[in-house]
Amino acid sequence: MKLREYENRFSTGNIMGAIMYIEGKMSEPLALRMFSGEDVAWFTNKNTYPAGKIIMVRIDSNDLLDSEVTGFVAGLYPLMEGDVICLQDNVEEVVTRVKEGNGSPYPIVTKNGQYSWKDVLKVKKKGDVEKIVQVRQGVFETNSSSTHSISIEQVDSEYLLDVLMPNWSSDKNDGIEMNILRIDKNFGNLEFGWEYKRYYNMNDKIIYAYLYAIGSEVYKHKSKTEQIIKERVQMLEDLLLEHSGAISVQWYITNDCSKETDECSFGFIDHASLCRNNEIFLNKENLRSFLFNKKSYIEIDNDNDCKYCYDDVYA
Amino acid sequence: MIVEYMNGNVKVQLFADGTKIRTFTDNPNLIHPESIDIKITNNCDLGCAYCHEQSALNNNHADLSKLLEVIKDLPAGVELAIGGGNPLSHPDIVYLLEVLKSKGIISNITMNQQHLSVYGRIIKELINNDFIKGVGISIVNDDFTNIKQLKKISNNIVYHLIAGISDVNIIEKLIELGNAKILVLGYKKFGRGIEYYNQEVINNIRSWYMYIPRYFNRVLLSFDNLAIEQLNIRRFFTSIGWDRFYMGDDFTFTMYIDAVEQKYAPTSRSVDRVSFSDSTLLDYFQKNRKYYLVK
Repeated sequence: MKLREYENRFSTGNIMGAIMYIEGKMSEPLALRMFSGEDVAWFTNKNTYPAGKIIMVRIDSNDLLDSEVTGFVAGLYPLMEGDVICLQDNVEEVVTRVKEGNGSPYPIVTKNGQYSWKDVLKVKKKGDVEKIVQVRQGVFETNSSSTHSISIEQVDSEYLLDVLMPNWSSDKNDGIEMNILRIDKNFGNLEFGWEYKRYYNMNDKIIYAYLYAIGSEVYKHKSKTEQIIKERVQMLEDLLLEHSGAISVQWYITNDCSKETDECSFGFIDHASLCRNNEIFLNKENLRSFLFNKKSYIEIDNDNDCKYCYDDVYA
Repeated sequence: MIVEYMNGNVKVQLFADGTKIRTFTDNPNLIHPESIDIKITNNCDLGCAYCHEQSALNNNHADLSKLLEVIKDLPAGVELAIGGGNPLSHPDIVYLLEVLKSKGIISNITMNQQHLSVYGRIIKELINNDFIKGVGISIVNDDFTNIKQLKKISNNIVYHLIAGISDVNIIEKLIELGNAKILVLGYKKFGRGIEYYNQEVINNIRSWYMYIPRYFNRVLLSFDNLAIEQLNIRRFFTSIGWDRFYMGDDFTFTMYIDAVEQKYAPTSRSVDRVSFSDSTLLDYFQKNRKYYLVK
């Protein structure tokens, strides 16, 4: 079956778990894990899905249309009869049939109607029993005007994100405190070359994300490069401002060595790592997780002696 | 553990230090609120300019017999956060707490730091008689003399700070007292808080937004829902962390009672209120509580 028939699913990335064969690109079918909606798709080995190593493949829309869906893997998708889908407005419905492989724009059938993949907000698998545990740590409810809704003392890195605590440059402007997030050579590492190293530090990851966003080699569609750079830097800055409370971000880093000055420092990402990590800019939540999750890291390696010898990983 | 009970399909365990563990497997179908914030008086001699309850000297006290009547169906283990006004100025406060204790209700009380000099002795007696568990103290200055005395007999003192009013740096001084438990409240644009809201308040909230992460993992920090919203506390949590520590929106597990006006409401800043005479407490909660969707 040609992927053209699944176009609506690709538009939202909801086709996770489809086993695909891309003519001329792959020697064997792979399981599609994510499609960015731009021009990059992530696959995993179908035998190890969903925990398998992700393989990043650059494909364009023509490749997709020429691809063949050869099946679905068991796991989260496809839905099975008896699974519960959660729709808008907290509506839950039990799946009675899934029209796999027939190209229907509304493949999910319940007794109340038919739905497309993008109608589904959450899925509860049949037989799953989800145990929710919520904890208020160490305090009685003393609040006589509302309630303790978060209460934490010592919590693991699994629960808390990194906190952005830069050196603040404070000034006064009409009585309003001005706080600027200055990112320069003292903020973190500037050189992501081809040594073997992992970077877990939030500041390093922020600089990496910036260098990645402004690296024009990243973008296949040259006519859109300027616009994409602008959008990604904006996404990065919006996130940094939200996370830190600063009112603006000032970058003193350039990836153009001819523009290096005493104040503005040169930084780079090795070419082997460029173009391959668009996943971090897929959306704001991916970027947040990459930058602030203590488990996310950048692994620097090189392409001199193996095929897939580097990865950027985000938790 | 001091109490364990089932509330519909939710298991609740409460421990001596106030830790609460809530466990459930599907959307919570509660029979009664886990905790209720109760105002028992509008009387207070402090006249804080930002008081959202608009408390003032010589204002009315609640008829506690009416209150005891509407909460009579609450089972042991439910927490009440009793406040005002100045709740300690209510002439029947000790009687109320004695009755609640006999029913196994967990009573906690909120008072202002400035009242400790006058009411410190009563508070100590209430603690020593186990009439109250948690004591919330609204911190308004850095003279902690009376607080130090109280800390000698209880580990369940919670310092209340208001983002927009309190200086965020006072947390540093509270930490020095040892075993500090802090509750950060959002600024309520309600009651006198509407008129008081100004640029200084806005700037103060902004400083809280920036500097509160300094205290993570250094002190026990709590936030109410309004503070969570105003300070965007969600930004510091992983999804797993949020699911574990976020105890729910207002009016999912909790509610408010204005015992002076004899009315129920989702929270103390809710405009929609229902009279005691129009509904029982359990009916009001079950029919109106906010829907909680399991992720």
